[in-house]
Amino acid sequence: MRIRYVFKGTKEELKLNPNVGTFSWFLHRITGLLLLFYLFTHMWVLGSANKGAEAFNQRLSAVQTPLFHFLEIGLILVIFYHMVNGLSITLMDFANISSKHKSLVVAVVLVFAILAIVSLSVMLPRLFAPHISTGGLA
Amino acid sequence: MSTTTFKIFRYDPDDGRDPHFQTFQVETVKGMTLLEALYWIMEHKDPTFAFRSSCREANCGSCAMHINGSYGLACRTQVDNLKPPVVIRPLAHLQVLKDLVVDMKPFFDNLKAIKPYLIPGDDPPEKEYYQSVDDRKKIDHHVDCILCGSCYGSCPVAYGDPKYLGPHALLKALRFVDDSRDGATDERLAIVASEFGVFRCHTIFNCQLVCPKDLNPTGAISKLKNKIVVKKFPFMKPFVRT
Ligand code: HEM
Ligand code: SF4
Ligand code: FES
Repeated sequence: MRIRYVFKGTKEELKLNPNVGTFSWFLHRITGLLLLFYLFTHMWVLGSANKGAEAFNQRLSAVQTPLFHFLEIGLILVIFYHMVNGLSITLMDFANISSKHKSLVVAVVLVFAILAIVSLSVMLPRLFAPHISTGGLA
Repeated sequence: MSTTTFKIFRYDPDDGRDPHFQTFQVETVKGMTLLEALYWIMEHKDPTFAFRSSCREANCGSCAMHINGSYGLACRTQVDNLKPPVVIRPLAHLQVLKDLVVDMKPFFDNLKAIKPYLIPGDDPPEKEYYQSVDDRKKIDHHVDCILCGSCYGSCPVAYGDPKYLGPHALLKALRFVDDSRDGATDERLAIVASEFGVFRCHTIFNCQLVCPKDLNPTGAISKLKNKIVVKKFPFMKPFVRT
């Protein structure tokens, strides 16, 4: 008998299970991969220090552009999401509180929002208006 | 009496057509279950329409399917509670034999892998295996599984790897690990700690959400993980709940 596999993978998974868990898992995977990509970029920049101060300064200044500052905002949000969601999953397992999933999701969103607001309020002025936040020293 | 629109997944291996959705207008009455609506279609519109059912009372687990955005039992779903058009698909992650009928073999193979039967300890008791009320309470939340496959269909990890034991099998494993009469805890923990066991779980919670019996396979998997961790690293005992 001819049988058929009609299921189409992750895209369909998100459509068939429109639950917060499916999306947070998907986002966790995406942010994990983005962090991995960042890690390599990060090493590429820092690694230049092996070739001396001159090379390091040169490569560092290459990533001190508005585009990279903009990406840094994304980076901090990606880190916070991955970290907060990852810790919440770990806590869920260790404390066996899976029945409190809804509260966990609310806690993740709250902690993420607080971290994001606090860090962005420190970061944004330094990135885009250094003369204000550092009295013109930067 | 009113008319409700149904969009139903159809696939017949013998007619050469690709899988598609077919629209039916069903005459529904108050109190009608989704399963009755499916029978109505079969009797009034298309006798070749295939689906599984048996008990009609949420006990046999035959009629699980994807109903309007979530998995569930057709016989336990009131048509009145569904927003039309009612979209029906077969369980995901399993091969479709015909229409809503899927090949459950991988699902039951995974169940068999965890040895879903009592394995007595070394010395059998004189008479029956006594279980105290308190001990029985420990498995209260695991025994009611009717093996419908809703959780398996909803689990993205089950898609990623058909060998992944799946929420149903792991919940069943905990049902025996927590059973005071069972003597094979170490063997069972070794099975679920394997490459295709609990550590494949990504804690997505779909199985917990869809289970028509309100069981919690996600929690069962956590508990098994913790038991495995404590067995291997006894110093972790104060930090995890088993
Ligand atoms: C900030 C602290 C971090 C925490 C608490 C954390 C936590 C976690 C957890 C719990 C998982 C498993 C999720 C699951 O089961 O689906 C995970 C997956 C992953 N993490 Fe992290 N992580 C952290 C930092 C990082 C960093 C720095 C990177 C990049 C180098 C990274 C890359 C990944 C990747 C690629 C995955 C696999 C995603 C998947 O398979 O879905 N993580 N993380
Ligand atoms: S755990 Fe629930 S959803 Fe999964 S097979 Fe058993 S009854 Fe069905
Ligand atoms: S027909 Fe038995 S569970 Fe629905």
